[in-house]
Amino acid sequence: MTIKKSFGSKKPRLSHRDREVLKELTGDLPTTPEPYLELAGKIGISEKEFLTRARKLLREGYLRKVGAIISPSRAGFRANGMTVFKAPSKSVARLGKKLSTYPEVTHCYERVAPPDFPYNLYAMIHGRTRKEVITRVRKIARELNLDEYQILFSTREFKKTSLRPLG
Amino acid sequence: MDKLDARILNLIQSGFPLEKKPYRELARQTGIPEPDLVRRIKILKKKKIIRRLGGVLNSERLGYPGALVAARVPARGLERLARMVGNHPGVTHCYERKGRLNFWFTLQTKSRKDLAAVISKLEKESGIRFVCLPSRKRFKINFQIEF
Repeated sequence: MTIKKSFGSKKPRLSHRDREVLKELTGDLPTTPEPYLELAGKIGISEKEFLTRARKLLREGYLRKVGAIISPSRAGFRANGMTVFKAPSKSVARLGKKLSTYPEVTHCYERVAPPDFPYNLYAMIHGRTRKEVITRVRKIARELNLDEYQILFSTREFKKTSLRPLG
Repeated sequence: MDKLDARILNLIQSGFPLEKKPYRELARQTGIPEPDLVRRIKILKKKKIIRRLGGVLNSERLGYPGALVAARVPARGLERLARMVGNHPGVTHCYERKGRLNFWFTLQTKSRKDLAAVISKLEKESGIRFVCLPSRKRFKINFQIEF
């Protein structure tokens, strides 16, 4: 199998310490009054150094955010419909941008479309019920003039976790 | 969940303070005593409305190539394959979905070479052919749910 080029190929230089801070920060923060003191202690640095490095990692974009990760299903959004659209290649960029403006769309990507699955625009659409998702997708499809699509509802969740630094 | 919980959730989804006493700072911002705030956060965690409190990595910035991978898998083979695939630390999402392609997962690896190697190793071990769907462009990735 060949993997075509996608983004994310530039190798950043991160120090060993920074990687340790990233590893600690991508776990679950303690609910004790001084959580960073605890995490800093685990890797043997001062709380001040830990916080300085953490702020730098956030500022430089290694971290998208520090905060609470919400489970959409537990928050009442039980239906999760990955919707795949067939978009004309000349307008896929414009349509992707438009799709992203809908608040119910949480993720939106253009993907390489293999011959046996000819969809190139992917949007994750959440709703309280499947019916709500279907209604929303129909409206979007109509407004963007995208009539070839499939909603792939999830029927079972095998794994859902957050990425930790690799290797 | 009441209005105050909603306010706390809206606040801490993106702005958890990188400060010595983050809960005290959040208590100040919401105008409630720190122990009350912490108690509410603990309950939201217990109910799993908050899945985790912490940092979210930017895999693109870290230079991790990733792909969405799909397969057509007979129903009886799904759980076994899910266990096999789920063992890889770079697999963060794995779902059964409706449709001809019924098994979906996301994979991130340290290098492009690793990405191809992991996929072909999983194909060999499982005897399942994977459809690899690398992203060309990301238009949106949203981590904020407004309450």
